[in-house]
Amino acid sequence: MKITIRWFLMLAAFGCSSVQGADFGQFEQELKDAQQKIKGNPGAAAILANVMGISQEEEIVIGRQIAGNLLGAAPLVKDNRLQKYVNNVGRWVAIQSERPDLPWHFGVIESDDINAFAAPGGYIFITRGLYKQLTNEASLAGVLAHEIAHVVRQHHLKILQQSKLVDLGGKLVAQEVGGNDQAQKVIGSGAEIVARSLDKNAEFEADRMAVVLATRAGYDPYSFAEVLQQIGHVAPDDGSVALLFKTHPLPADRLDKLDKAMSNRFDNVRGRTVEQRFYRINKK
Amino acid sequence: MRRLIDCYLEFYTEMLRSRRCQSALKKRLAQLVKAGWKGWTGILTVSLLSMQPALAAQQSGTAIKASEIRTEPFSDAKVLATLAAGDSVTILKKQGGWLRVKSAKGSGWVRMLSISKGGTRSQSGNAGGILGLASGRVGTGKVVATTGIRGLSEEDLKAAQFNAQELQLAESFATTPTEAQKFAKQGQLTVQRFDYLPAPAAATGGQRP
Repeated sequence: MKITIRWFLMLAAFGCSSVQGADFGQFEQELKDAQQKIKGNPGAAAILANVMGISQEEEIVIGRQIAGNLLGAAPLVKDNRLQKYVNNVGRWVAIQSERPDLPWHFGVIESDDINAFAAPGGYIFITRGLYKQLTNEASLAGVLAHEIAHVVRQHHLKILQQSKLVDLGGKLVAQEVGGNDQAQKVIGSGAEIVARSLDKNAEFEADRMAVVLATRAGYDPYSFAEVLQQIGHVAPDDGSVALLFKTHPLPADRLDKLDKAMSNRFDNVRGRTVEQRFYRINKK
Repeated sequence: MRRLIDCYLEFYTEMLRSRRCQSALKKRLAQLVKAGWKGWTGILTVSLLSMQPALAAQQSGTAIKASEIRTEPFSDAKVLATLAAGDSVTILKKQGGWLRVKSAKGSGWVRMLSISKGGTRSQSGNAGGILGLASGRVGTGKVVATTGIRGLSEEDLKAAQFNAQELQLAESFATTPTEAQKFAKQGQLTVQRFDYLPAPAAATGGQRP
């Protein structure tokens, strides 16, 4: 079924309307041609992502709107070196995913809450509160990788689609300046979409992917689990974890699932933690 | 050279003995500089400070399930003893996914994910844990949570207004794939091939409790 959709999309993408009446050999040849074109054409990946009726371009417009709203609630930490560092780590990890060519953006935002957010199209933010829990680059890579996994699997887009908010009617067009009214209609109120709970299994999946993406990038596979352990030490009634614990399974549960999934598969992996160049955030 | 090694060992033992190793270290370094060891003190400082996390990382923990203590940090190493859920341990060292622990049942290596470290701490207090120790954050005193704590609640997110300026600023920090490659190289990070993990139910052959 999946293959059928793919082929259909390829055909649609390249206007192979000549299928009608053509003999099967010719049809097959056209498919091959289309496949060939897709391989050498990065734009075609966008069309392939169009399974849910949202193109990659539209996905980015939606994500950008959410990111702009989120930044309206909590601006960036004003530390350029920190922001650049987070983008370096994040991009390196994102390259290891199935969507290396998205215009990935990462940022640390002003909030003492412990949380991280992903918006479609590759906009990822972590709070100052969470960043301060981290001790090395591998743990940062793990946290960003969890969010990258949400983007790669389009978890939030699926929520939008399930709640039938995505009914575009027309095409979303990117705007250089200001918010996008049409995109705002799609995402509901403000940045509420990032405060929604995903399916528990989507979180567990993102945890498993986080460990693998960080490993692929050359980092220590266990640093992400250490972050979860660290967060698990924060009292559950502490305000800083209220939203995180409301929208995610509890750390103990996540660690249990991760332990089972990781098992002894990483025994021979020698990843790096990279403590020396880890950027320490200014005390406030 | 001999003298240098002696100095090094002296530092090492002093650090092990004293929790106030920072000040002791500074004092001894000052003495060394006086004694004409300028060239070597930099190297000593760097190497000793980098050793510090490993030395300081001694913390208590609890087994969260029955887990084997092994002679070495490998899953096929000899089993020395088995911890029961709830057994307490002292964590001596971390290596990859393993912790070296001391317990009433013996000392050896236990899987990191079988041990819960320390107790519950409030974020507004000192969220230390082994990570805090490793980063040298312990001992900075209690941070009193009063003003300035900025949350990010569901309501805040719902009411959020688009901030074009901040978004443009955020986008200005984007890293290109080429930059990322260079960054990885600087950190001696090399790409590993690794497949995504199946969900635990499949991973354990369906032996779900």
